[in-house]
Amino acid sequence: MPRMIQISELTFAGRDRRRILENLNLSVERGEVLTLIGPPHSGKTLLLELLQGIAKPLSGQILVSDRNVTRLSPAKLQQLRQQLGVVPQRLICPAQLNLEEALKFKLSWLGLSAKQVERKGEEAIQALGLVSLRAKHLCELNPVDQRTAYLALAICHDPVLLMCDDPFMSLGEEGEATFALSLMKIQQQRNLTLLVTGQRPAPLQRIKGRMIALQAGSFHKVN
Amino acid sequence: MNASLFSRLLGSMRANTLLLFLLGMVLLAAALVGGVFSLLSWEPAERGPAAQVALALDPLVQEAQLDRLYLEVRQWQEVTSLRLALEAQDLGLPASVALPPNAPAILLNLGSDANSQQVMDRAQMLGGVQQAVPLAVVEDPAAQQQVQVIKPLLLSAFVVLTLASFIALHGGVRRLLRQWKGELELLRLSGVSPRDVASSFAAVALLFSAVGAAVAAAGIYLGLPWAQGVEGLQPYLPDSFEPQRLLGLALGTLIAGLLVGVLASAWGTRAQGRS
Repeated sequence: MPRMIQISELTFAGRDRRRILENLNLSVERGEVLTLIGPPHSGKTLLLELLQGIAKPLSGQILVSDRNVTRLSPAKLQQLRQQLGVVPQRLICPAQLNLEEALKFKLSWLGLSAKQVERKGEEAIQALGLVSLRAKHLCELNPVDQRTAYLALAICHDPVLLMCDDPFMSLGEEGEATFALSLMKIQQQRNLTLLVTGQRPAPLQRIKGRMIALQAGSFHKVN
Repeated sequence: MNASLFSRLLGSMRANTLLLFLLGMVLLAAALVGGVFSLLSWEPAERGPAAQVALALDPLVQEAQLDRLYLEVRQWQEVTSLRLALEAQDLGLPASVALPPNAPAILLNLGSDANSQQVMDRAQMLGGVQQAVPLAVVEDPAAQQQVQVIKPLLLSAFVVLTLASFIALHGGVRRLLRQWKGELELLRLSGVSPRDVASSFAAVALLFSAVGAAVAAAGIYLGLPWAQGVEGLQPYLPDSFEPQRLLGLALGTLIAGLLVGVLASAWGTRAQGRS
């Protein structure tokens, strides 16, 4: 099966030269679901930033969709980033736009035609059951709906890889279940490669897939 | 620049942000006018003896002929402004200029001393004109002293107001960026280059600075010749009002204003471009 992510001997050092990630190796196949568990400041968000080319590693190679992220030109990297979907850990709500407008805003920036913008925006709203919330501003929504709305924004342009950075934070048990259900539904519908990070095993276990732990800069198997 | 984002930015602007941009625009216009005035030559020595010509008219000239005379002279290219008085003494000319009393007279303000002889020759060929008298422009020493004070003041005002307009425009961009923080984060997550986004924000600041600069340029181009015709203002005004020089000044003003706008917006969006 073709690989979506291939990380080889990846090392990242902070400004103080302390190694945060050391000699990481990871392979994720297309359509695979991977959950990454780790304590706060273990480097989970950093790993997602490295995959997007936002952070630069000290050494090693990162291949995403067969492209070497560490060696791409800024223009090519931008192209690659436009094929990724990201649900961030910290949500900064768009205050000027409601959900439908936010979807159109994003899609039109990505250069889609007016028809495609309309269609893809509608598909994302329908797929995640956000029809009744389309006219609401994201700041007005409850935490679960807000995360789901961000999920819609992350998948609306049909990304090849969806990354969710600690999406279960502050959702509550019921919220975690609801969001995990939405996540799995969209992954199966679109056969997405999914990478989800989190601090606690309970919500991540709701996502059916391979789980690995990131601790002290290295990956560990989780039983 | 993204036209859709640009129009959204203008449409969604909050009152306090709009106020900052308008303030920047007005301050910039005022700064540029002050700056141009402070840079122009105000030396009395450069003003020739015949920057003005008085036409003494026939005391028995008919009203219709007076109108024709006035309209004819007004069309002359060399004349920047003129004033008609039914009695010459109403023109308030210096005592050394002897015009027939109780007769109508016209005072012509010329764009340049070089044209004075030509103007006088043409005027004397007109029916109803008895005499064309070149006027030595006597500068008011008090006014000259005031000019010496006003000039550095204007220069200081130019510097302070330019800085203030820069800060206001920069503040407007920063406020706008804060207002759109969530949307920008959304675009950042979508892989849109921060530079692409920043250009739309810079364009808003540039729009306001361009309007301010255009107002200043128009004010200089149209306002200077007008001010020369206002009685009592002449000693405080620069000497040259040739259209070409005015056009040059107006264009220079526009460019200077745009430069302030570009710098303010670039400074304001710097952080966005880096993120």
